[in-house]
Amino acid sequence: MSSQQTGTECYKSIGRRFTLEKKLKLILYHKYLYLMLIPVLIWYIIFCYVPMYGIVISFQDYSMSKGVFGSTFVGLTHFKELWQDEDFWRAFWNTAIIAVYRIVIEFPISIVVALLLNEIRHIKVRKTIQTIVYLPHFLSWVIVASIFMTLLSPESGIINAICTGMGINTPDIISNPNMFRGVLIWSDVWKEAGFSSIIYVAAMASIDAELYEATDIDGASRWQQIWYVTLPGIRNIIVIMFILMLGQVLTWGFDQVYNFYNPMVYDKGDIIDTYIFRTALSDNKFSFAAAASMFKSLICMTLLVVSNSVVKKLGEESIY
Amino acid sequence: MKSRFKFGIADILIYLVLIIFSLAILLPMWHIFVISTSSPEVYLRDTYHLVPKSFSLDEYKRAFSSLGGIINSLFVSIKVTGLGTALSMLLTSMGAYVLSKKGLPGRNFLFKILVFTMFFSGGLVPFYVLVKNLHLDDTIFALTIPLAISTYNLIIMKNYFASLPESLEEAAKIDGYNDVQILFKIIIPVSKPVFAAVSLFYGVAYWNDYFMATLFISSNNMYPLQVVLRQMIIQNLVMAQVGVATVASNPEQFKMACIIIGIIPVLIIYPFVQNSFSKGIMMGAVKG
Repeated sequence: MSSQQTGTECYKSIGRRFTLEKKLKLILYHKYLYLMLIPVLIWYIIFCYVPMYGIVISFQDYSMSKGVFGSTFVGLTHFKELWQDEDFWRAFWNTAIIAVYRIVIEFPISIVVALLLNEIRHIKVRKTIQTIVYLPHFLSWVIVASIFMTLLSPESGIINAICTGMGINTPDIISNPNMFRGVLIWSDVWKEAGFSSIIYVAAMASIDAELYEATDIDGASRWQQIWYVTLPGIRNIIVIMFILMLGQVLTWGFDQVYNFYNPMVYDKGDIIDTYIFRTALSDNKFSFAAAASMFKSLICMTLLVVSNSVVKKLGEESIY
Repeated sequence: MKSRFKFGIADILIYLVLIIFSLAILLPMWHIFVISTSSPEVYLRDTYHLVPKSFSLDEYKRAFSSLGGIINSLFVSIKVTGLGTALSMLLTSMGAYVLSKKGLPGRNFLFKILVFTMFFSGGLVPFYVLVKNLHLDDTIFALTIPLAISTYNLIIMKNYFASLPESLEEAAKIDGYNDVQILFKIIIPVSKPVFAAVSLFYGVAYWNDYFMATLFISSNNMYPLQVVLRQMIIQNLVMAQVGVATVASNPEQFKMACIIIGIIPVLIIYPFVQNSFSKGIMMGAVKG
């Protein structure tokens, strides 16, 4: 008998008697597994846990030359300043409003796209459409923002062509603050609606075909089948995606906004992340920006925990 | 799925909506392609047309010869994507495999350490300071190591590994393999679909990233493609340097050529990766 087999027996006996000695044996037996985990843990500690000292920076007048240990402690000064900063609150409300738009408009659209794709029965047509609508996901926001700016530009682009054709003045959409949020939402739909429908399409494919046949025999209409078979079939996924989205909703969109915005639309388009980026790296107000980050992180965490527990209470499968 | 097949009004509507959506994606790109390749005279006469009326690659030549160095940045991007994806896959598959072991003492605690970072992060400033202090800035490592693990991808892989039959590993253990050998010689070869999908997610993230380079890269010859394109199209930096006005050129057409240069690499890779992503997403996320 090889030593590996005695190890397997040891592994199996754990359920029966659980002594410290056995546990040590088990850990020793799994030494290679722990060994493999070490680089991963080191990475997490360095790049995720060490930066959490940002909590300390936000209570200091931090300067890079002095470091965390040399900088002076100033208590809640930065948080007070943040509380009174109009630009921060503008960014905060912009983020919140854009987040609501995303939840109300973009989230259902990807489900609708999935439902439509699912209703197409010609496999070839369906594959072709899927290929096309998934494509923009793979383009960077640099490219997508450039495409949209070109299209919406008052000098060239389709909007200009249409307006000239109708004999009216071309509106400058990109630098009009009132249209900026619309540009954000619809460009995100353009880029991601197709790709985010994949997961629902996959879930729909795993619904039992007999359910459709049975409802067919009962004379259910197509609409009824969608309502009573397809949607309940993907309910779990919808719930999980919804919680995941709520957790991300405030961190979402930096890439997009950063590539689209210009000082003319700060009023409606500046979000918390772009605000933090500017205060930290253009104004060099490190501690102040850290305080803003902290504030945002706390809200994100609260949103996620609250939504997850609500979902748990409702008896759905939650994410943790 | 359905036995009786009727092509009704509902079908027409469904097709119509999806075709309009597809056209909304394709036509803008086609338009940009057509304009970028038309000669300046045609462009000035007719700024918006979808049928090519002339053909000229002048703007592309200008883009490639410009000071930003598109070709160089293309190589930087390829290097970053290759190195980054390899590093990511190594760390992610090791972490995912270990955490997929149900009987491992301390597994739940270790997993919670990882998951906590999805909920709470230190934010931009300490991260920036950290990478600077590690003296990674202005090297290719600043663009790869800090992004090496995505917890979301790790969970996808972990779920997949956990669904594999245990008998696979038991057999390997009898043959005298240790856990490291089992992962690389047995588990990864049977996990090709999830491996392909997760590599793709990482690859796309590295290829499209410009943010890390904006933060940490300061020498011109280290800029990846997205940063150079951003400078050319959005920031108008290169245009001023090349002096577009001096030559018979049009800034709009120049930008469009740059957009197409950014799209082409994605189009080249796209057919090869198409099958892997839908499978991957399905496997990982259905379990949450």
